[in-house]
Amino acid sequence: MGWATGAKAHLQEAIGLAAVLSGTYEAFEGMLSVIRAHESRAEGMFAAFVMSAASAANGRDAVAGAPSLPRTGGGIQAPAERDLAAAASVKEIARDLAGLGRVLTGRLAAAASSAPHPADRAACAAAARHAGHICVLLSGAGP
Amino acid sequence: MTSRATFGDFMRAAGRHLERPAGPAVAVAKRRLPAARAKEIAEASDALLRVVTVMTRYTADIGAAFAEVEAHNRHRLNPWARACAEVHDALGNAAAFLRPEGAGRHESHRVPPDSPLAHRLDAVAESLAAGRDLLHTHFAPGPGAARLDHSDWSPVITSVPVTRALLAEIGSLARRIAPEGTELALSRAPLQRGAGEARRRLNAACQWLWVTDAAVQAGQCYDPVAADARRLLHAVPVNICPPRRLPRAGESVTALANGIIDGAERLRHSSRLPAAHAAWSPAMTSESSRQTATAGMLTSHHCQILLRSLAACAAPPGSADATARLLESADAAGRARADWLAAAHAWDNITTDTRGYISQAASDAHDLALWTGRLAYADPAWTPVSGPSCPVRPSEDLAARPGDIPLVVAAIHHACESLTRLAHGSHDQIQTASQAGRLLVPTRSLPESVDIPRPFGPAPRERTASLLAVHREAGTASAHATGKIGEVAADVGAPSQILAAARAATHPGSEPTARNSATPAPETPDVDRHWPGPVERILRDLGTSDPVLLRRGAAIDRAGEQLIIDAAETVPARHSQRAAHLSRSPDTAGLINRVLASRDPCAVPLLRPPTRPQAAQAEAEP
Repeated sequence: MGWATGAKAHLQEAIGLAAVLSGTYEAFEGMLSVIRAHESRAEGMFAAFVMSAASAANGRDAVAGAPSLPRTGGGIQAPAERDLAAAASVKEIARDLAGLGRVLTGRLAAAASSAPHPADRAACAAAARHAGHICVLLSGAGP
Repeated sequence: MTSRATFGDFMRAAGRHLERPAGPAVAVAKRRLPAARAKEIAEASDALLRVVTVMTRYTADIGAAFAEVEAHNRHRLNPWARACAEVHDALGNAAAFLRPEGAGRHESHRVPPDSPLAHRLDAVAESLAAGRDLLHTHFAPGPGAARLDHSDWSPVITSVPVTRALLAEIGSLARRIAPEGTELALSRAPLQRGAGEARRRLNAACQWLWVTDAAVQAGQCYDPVAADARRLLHAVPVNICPPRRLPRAGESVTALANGIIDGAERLRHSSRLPAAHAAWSPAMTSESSRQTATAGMLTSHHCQILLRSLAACAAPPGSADATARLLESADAAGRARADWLAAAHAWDNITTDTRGYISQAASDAHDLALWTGRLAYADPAWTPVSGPSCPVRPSEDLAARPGDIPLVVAAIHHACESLTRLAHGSHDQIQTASQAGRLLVPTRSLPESVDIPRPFGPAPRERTASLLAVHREAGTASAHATGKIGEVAADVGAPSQILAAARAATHPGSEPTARNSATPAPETPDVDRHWPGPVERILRDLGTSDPVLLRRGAAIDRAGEQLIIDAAETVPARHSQRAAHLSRSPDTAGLINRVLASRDPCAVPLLRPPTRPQAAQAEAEP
């Protein structure tokens, strides 16, 4: 899925706390859209999808509480129409989102340990937990 | 259905204690017989007072207000309300005859009685007191003497059908106890000097027990207690939350179904958080709400899978329509699933002012989704992360053993009932949180034109309105699914039928689903023995065994009783004799007792004195 690959690349290249926070916020928001678009055909993975959606919203809210989050974003674009269409299989989508979740976990965990502001650290740590949860749900393995 | 103690356990125990033990009476030396009999009467009176005291507390719980209605205004009450008032008065009169004159009682120094009857009555009093304590676990003390609902059973216990059933139980017990007491009181055995008054008082108290029964009987004649109401009363469990338990890998269908029932019960407990708490509670978080909505959706989804599997069974038990009903229920569960999913979606765009806390209800809802998923899928270790290749459990597995289908239906029924409560509770909490300004949205999700210098801003009105609407719809859809599954439960004889009966009791307009809901409750075990009247007794004492003569004697006795009843109705109250006077001799007392035992309400004026026998005194501890 092109959007997840692009978001992953953007996050890996993000430099500085503000860029990481902005990118992770948009990544969670985009994941939520993708999951909601595909959950109805997830069948055996239905439970994992809907629970991941809740975790994505929780992660986004956690990042939103970080004082260093810029008011405006623009780093990661919202998923395009083709990302929300049923082109890829559910398994492929789950794999891509789990991969993105892994990157999110890593960047947020790093930010949680290095951010100067305690509220940023707490927000990143909470968001990292939610991202890790998405990895577990969609891949059946840890981040 | 549940391993917890129920009210019925204590009522059955009380009934068992009233059964006379087989075997000969304890032999007493002839010279000590009068003293032994006097002691027996004293002990039985004491024990009966304990029983009557607990009964009075029950009637005070049911309708203390009715008892305060003056006698001359009671004709305005409906027959059951009048019965409640009259039972309360009758028990008060019985207690007045049994209570020792002017003395406080010191229960802590009470010696266990030697008398078998007193011993059994003590056990009855204990069972009744324990039953009342059980009912009281469903209430919390409120302002003044008010009781506040403390569980989903509270409105069932105070519902009209169940309070009538409770009154009928008291009448039934009174009817069983009365002849035992009068038999002891009117025994022809020699009695110690001075013990006659105690004997007369015991007999008079038992006469008031018959009046108690007659008052209930009047209500029964007007509108009999339905079998469902009695079953419902007996099914009231002690109000304790089952301990948390998660499914282990490879549990049987029976164990999983029981786990779902316990999990659903836990969820009903935890989702009773008063809505007002949502104004300040840290448990009111978006994480909790998302988990709740997601779990509600998953549980509905699993119920839909299970109902379809049951419908696919080769030979579903019950009526020919059972399969059709199962499929209708599955569709209803599917609609609930869609509405819960809409609720989960609505939370995508809203958050709360506190985060990072998962409420007990959200945790229990998640557990219930896990339990139902474990039963719905074939994988014995299923979890939400089990992956895409996870087949549903074959229908044969759900019906492998007799009794599995009713239990699985009961589990689904309980799960859907809990989801209904959860949706309503969530709706009320969201409404409170919204009014308290606790619903927010990330500022970044708002249009650029909205300038809020904080990470979160107040949730727009249309988003909170939508959030409330979807939760209301989830509640309606879950209630509909619960109703449909209630019909299936009636079809297959599932133990969860009691849920439908409870709903019918608390929502009089709702459709009762149990097939025999309108059937009057059967009488409790009929212990009324044939009790010869004076003429028949003399014939028997003469050695007559001719059935024709005995029948004629019984007919004369009945005619005599009717004459007394007719006279009691016509003689003005100011001219009537008090029962204590009428019952001075054992022979006339026996006759009055027979008249009262006839359950003819017209006989009650025999006992009704010109003024009440004694002013109410402070209740003694039973």
